[in-house]
Amino acid sequence: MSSVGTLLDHPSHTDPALHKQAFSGFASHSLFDQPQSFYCDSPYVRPVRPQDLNQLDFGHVLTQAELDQPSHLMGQRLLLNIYEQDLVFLPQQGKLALAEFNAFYDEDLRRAGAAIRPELERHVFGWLDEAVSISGNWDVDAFKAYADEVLDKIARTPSSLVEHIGQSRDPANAARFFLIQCAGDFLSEASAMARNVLGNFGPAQSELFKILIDEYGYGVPQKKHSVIFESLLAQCGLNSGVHYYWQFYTATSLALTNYFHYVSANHRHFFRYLGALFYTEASLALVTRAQAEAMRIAFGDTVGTLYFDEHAHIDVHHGKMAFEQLIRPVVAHYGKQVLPDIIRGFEEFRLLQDVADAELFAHIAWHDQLADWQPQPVPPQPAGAPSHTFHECRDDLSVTHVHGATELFVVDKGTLKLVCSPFTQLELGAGQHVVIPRGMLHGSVITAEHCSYTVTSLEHAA
Amino acid sequence: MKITTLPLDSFNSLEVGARRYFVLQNGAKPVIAPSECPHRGGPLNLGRRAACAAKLVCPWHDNAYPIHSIERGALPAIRRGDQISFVTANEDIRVWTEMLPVNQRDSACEDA
Repeated sequence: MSSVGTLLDHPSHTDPALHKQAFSGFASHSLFDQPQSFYCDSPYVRPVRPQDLNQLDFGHVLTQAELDQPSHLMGQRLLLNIYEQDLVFLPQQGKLALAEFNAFYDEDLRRAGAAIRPELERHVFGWLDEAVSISGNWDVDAFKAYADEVLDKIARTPSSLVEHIGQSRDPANAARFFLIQCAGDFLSEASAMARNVLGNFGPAQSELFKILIDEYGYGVPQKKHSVIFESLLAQCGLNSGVHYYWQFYTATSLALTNYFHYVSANHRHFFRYLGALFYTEASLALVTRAQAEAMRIAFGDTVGTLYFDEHAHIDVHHGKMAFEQLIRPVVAHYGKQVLPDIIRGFEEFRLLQDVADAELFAHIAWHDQLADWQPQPVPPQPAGAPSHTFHECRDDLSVTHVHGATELFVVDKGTLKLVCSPFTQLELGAGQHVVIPRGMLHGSVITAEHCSYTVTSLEHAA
Repeated sequence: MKITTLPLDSFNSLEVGARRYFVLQNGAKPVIAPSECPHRGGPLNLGRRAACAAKLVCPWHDNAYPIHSIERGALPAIRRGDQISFVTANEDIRVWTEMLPVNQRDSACEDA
């Protein structure tokens, strides 16, 4: 292995002190540190909870079963910040804070991000190597047959999104939470794709460029997919600022955006990118119909579904273009050797989408449970269970996070607001409690002069 | 073409049309490999591993085949978790529901 490869694959070979410094320097940057609010008014303010850094280990590869762990959420947040330093963001609402702009794109911060990126990518995406493998004698027609089967199944299966939103206690807020999960990607839609259109790779390059042109609205702002999505957010009563709801993205929603950056930032993964692109374009042509239906269930006729209708139409073309004009010619030109990575990208993104859907639905179900919350006697706690008591003052804000185990959250003194989504918040007073399941996103803000609360693991006895 | 998806722990042998296949582990990757030795048709599924598991030796005439060259004749397959999907022509597929004998013990690396 080359020395560069050794460094990237075995980051521990770098000076551990320098590596730790890069992690701390990036995560603790003022833009990513403690915010004043749960909502981010600036596209450069993206809190990651650097105070948790010492408790988290990014040196190992997460398994699929560990995607609900805190290091996954923090790893994905850090990665999106790193990837998006390559993109241009200027606030569309409000003024430009030039100091924040300069700080976000600062050279030292970029260098620190570049140093920690390989370890983070391995930590959050390494599990895909175990989860998916491609073998045997593939040709492009066998792949097409497989892809058609997968897509037919999606077309034939009733939409889980429609079901979960329709059955929610509060379909409108469930739909809003779904839209928030989309916002991290859709408000800068196809930015990762743009990483792949430069260079020189012949006619396929022009085909990819045509898809990009569609995504970016042919130079007409109102036709840009991200602008259409902004309009949808506004109609649904949501803020359309880039990453305004940063703290409410689930880890697996972030993973969908980050995966495209991951396979696009390093062009060694270009063929995986093509496979993932094909899956997302072809499947979106099918699922966006259901997404439009979910909007109608949630909001009736008060909300336009142009964003989803546009994709239901144009992604039929994009799916065909991605396969017939990109993948088929690329395989014809460069041989079957590139097919395993193309198929891998297709299958990996499919799996990531399934995992993200499951996490979204679990959150909607938990929010529904919390809507029924009533004060109850505090249940007995497991003997020897690890527990931590926190003492905080008015307006102290705990940035949203997840716990690696189901925990009992008890307010001992004072009052606080437990914030699980922009629409699911509990006011808790002394003696009141809530059980926070493992992997569920939540934060808190203190609403009394002083407040103490105790968090006890319900899974691990000491 | 036909797509078949099976739990990986439910089978280790199948027949597509007149051809027999068996599940061959290539590291962590399962490969649905042809059972028939390209030399005289010996049962590769009963072959032993050699060269630190990089080769499979036919029990009939001791011909050793690199696993990666056997994989070139394998069914196109995708493993996702504990399931495997494979693509075949529109031929009859017979899957043995009991595990048939296979011999995949690794040899020591010294014989490489």
